[in-house]
Amino acid sequence: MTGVLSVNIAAMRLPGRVEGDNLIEDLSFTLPRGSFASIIGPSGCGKTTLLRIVGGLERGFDGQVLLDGTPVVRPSRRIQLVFQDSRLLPWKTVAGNLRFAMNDNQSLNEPKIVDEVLSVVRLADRKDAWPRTLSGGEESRVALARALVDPPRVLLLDEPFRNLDFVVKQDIQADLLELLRQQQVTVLQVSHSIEDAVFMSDLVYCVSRGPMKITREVPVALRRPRKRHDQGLKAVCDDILEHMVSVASQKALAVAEGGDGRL
Amino acid sequence: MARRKWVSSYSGAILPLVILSLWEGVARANLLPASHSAPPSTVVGRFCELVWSGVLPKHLVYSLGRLLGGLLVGTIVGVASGVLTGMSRRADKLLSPTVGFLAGLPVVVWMPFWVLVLGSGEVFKVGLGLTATYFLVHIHTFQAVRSVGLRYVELAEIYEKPLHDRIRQVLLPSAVPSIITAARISVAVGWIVIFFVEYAASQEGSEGLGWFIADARQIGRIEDELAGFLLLGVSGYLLDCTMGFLQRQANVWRESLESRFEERGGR
Repeated sequence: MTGVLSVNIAAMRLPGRVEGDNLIEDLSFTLPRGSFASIIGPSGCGKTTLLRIVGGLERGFDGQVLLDGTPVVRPSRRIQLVFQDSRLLPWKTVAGNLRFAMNDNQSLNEPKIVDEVLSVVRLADRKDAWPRTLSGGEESRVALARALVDPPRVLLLDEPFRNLDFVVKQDIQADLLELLRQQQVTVLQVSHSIEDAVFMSDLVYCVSRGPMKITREVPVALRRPRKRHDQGLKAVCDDILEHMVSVASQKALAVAEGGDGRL
Repeated sequence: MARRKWVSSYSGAILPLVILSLWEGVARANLLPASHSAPPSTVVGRFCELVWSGVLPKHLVYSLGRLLGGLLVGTIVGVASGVLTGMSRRADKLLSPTVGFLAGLPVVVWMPFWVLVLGSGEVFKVGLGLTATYFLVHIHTFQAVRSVGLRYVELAEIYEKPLHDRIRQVLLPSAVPSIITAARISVAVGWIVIFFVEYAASQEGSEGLGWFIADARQIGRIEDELAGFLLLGVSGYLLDCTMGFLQRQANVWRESLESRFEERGGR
């Protein structure tokens, strides 16, 4: 069995911060192969840093990340990260950016693979475009397509649908879920949209800031394919929203009473 | 609209035409000593004769060969050492103080050294062209490699790109616009250096535009001398246009004022 992701972070402190002033503390979870989990939390709480840790891009933390029981100590194709800022190579066309992500065995099927992944993100007609000519939403979609070129065991998504309009987002999300499910890719997504998180995930982690901790784990046991106006889905969203508001209020109260805001 | 575009395309010729007209008028009115000046129309006539007879093309080929030889070798070595010191802190610490010191020396200071090492033949002239190119390209490449966004380096790490692929697909494409800028400046500096060496250090029977001009001056053929200057200027201008074209091609992916001018048809 491959694709089991286990994260266990005792403490993560940003450079220049004093001892005890941790960005992340006592955070652990395990995702089974092919599962889709989302992290919901306030801005600046360390969600992106968590994804970087899982992706092997951050090393200064106490704890470990295991993929199929093996520690993740450096970035690799097995765990791919779709960054919030897309990170397309500006000197390569859209097709060139996708070719950059191919492994050595894929070179023979380059054109076919490029066409296939671009059709998933609805950009088949933009393969020769320079990144500077793409809209923010198109850039995000190319970044997503790049991660699908050589499907990883774990896919980390940092707000991948942030710049997408509602109709395109719905289309892409449905196709993406189907593709990820076929490939049995384990996904960890960071999102600010509770609805997106619940719509796509099997599991939603609510996190707080200062330091970042999991405050609640919400399994989403709704049948797929899901519908956004489904009452069950709305109920889960409301439940999560209520929890997040309650945590934020408690934190604000703790700070007002002279504490450091830790719960 | 078409007339406006025509004027815009040829506006660069207005100033030279005004200067040439004034020069022609002054020369025809004998306001300049004949030993130091000739009317542009006479110079252009002589220029055409010298081109047609193959004299000027022969000297131009020699000068260009020396310039491009130095440019090619200087660029290759400069890019290689720039990438090496840009990527490796150890190489930076080892090489940069020496390169920094040598880069501060004027190109003419290198003349005795190259004469000693390479003699005073063709290789010496190419060596000076190389000197004019190498330091500029090295410094620009080093700086460009150090400025490559960490975001792209991380991407190469995620896709497990081997070192040669990181250089070829990430570092160099990002650095190429800076390298071509350096090469463009090197062409201008190298053209001056090659002319200077040919002009000052050539012997009887030498080749090159600098030698042709020096010889014409010595025997008092002012039309030949000015025709040589004309070719020198036109060649320098065309070389700069070629480098400018390469620079635009290298920057085609960038969102810049240049790309906006290109998209709007030069306005």
